[in-house]
Amino acid sequence: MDFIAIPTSYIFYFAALVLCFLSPSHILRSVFLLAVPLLALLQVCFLELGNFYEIQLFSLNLELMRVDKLSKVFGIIFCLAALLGNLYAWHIKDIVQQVATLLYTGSAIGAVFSGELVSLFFYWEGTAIASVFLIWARRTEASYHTGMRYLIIQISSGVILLAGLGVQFQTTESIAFDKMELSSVASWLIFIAFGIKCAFPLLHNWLQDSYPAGTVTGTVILSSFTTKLAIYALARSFAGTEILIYIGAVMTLFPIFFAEIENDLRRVLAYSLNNQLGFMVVGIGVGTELALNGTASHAFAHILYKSLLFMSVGAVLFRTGTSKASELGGLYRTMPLTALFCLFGAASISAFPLFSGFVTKSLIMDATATEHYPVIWGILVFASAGVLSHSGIKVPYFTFFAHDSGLRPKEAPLNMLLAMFVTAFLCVFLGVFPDFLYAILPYEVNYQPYTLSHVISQMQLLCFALLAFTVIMKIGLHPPEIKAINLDTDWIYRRLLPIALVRIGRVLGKFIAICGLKWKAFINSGGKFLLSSFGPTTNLAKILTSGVMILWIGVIFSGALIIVLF
Amino acid sequence: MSGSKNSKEDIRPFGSILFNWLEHRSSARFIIGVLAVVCIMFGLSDFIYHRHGHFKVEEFPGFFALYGFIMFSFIILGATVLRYFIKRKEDYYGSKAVDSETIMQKNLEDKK
Repeated sequence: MDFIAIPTSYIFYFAALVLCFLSPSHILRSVFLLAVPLLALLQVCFLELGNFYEIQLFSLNLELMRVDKLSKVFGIIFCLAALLGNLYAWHIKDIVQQVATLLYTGSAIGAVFSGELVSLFFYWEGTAIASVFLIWARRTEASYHTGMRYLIIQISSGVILLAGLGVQFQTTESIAFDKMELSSVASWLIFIAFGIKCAFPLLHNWLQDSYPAGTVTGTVILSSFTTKLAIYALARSFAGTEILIYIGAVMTLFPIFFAEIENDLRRVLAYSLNNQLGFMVVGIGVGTELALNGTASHAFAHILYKSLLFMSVGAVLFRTGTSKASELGGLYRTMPLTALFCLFGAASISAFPLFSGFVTKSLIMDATATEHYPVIWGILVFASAGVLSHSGIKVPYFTFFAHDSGLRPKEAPLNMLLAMFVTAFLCVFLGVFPDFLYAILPYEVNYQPYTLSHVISQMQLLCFALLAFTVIMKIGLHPPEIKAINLDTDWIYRRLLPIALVRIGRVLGKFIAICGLKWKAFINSGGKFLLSSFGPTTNLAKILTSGVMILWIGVIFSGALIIVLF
Repeated sequence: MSGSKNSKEDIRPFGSILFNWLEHRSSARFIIGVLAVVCIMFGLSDFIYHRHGHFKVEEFPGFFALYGFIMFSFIILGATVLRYFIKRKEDYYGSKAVDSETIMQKNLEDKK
């Protein structure tokens, strides 16, 4: 705390400001982008536990830095993810992405260290607004629409959080961001707000919709923060809430099947991300010290190996222009190092012994077993086989091996390889020396992942699943990689609702026609009034930039907040 | 450009030694053989030591092996059935989804 006396999130915000004044092609900017997260990482590592930077806003005491063991472990991994992500994006000259990355990272870290719900809300919305630019930076019509859908859902999460905060403040005069019971309206609202960002079942669509739409480097950044911030928030507030066990179990299950038949590999990884979040949510639901340690450590390991997988698929996308399994195959010939790193990520997420997933997922599995949830435990073992099927086998196999697609792209750029190397190294390092990770967990760890029973049962599960894959491939039953998309429940709001609204409009129109001209004239005059007030030529319909829109959203939210607080 | 089909001799990137052996004719048979041996080893190992588990079912020899094999097959089967119902054309959502976009390919050279 001594050498930089500002909250960690402000380091990123100031950096974003400074970045605007550096020349885009200048090497200084690239160096700067690495130095900032490194500096933040050092600061977080040396933070003492306690509350810092308490400020008075009206009658509220805001705590900008609440440092305890739980927030610290998330702070460390967020800084590390930002560092690796920026190294991966070293070659990018696009200032929009660079600034968005810094603001997004800063907001996520700020949210983790928030000591109460008010500053959490601001940072929560910060992550939403900053991150959407990583999708829009693709600069296509489709990415614009996808970004809009993403933004609507993310902002809604924030608005619901604000509503929960308002209700809580009304009833208890407290803005505490601490353990809650799911017994009041306020806590349910906050729970749902967290659940949206955490991609609970049926609230999950934004994840699979938006991550494949991000830029090559943007998706690597996106995959690290938003959902894990929600995991942190849930672990902080709703540890031991039993419903989370069942929500988590469903989350581990359904994405497996979607991932298996998905063609876009970045969407496969998004489904797999959802499945991994399920493990963490189960851990939060169980809520014992062992389980919460499991959740925190799994989030830590998960950010690394998921980034690694997104990096390797991103490198392929960067070199070939596609991330679709139906177009790829046999790339090991010219991208051997990327293939190798991808295999490291695949082994880690599949939880092979000596890789990071093994030493962290075991904690959660053991917690469910010791607390006697046999069905949940069975589901998690099943889901572990599922992880192997899509992230462990499908992603590396259909990209780098399988049939020869004829593509001979160059190996990934040096900065990408370096980022992948460091991430892969960390995955193995944590797997071999789990004590380094266990030492920074929220509670004391008395756990030995490498027991004979453990290793053999896990190897049996994985090897026989691999055998099943081999058999299925040999007899040709594996679903082929084809150019197609699969519907998910977002079909309801992307297809069904718009069509239904048009139909209802038509029926209403007919009804009005039957009711006679008087009505028609009335409706027409109403329509004219609307046209003259809100039509394409009026002031209200002027085309403003999204920046102005976001500014106004910020103003409206601040207004709403002030109204709520007084 | 990356899409062109160069002959293998043209590009020998650093690290290609890692996977060169895959070009060998019987590499697939070799991998399957190794996998089979590993599976048999781990499968039989249950009979020479006693597994300590939280649940009775874990102590049944070969439980994890069977569970892994059956569940994996179930996933593939389930996914195939699911695909039958939810598969749509790539341009189903039209210009509002990135699935039918090819813009990434155009930008390839600029980005480098």
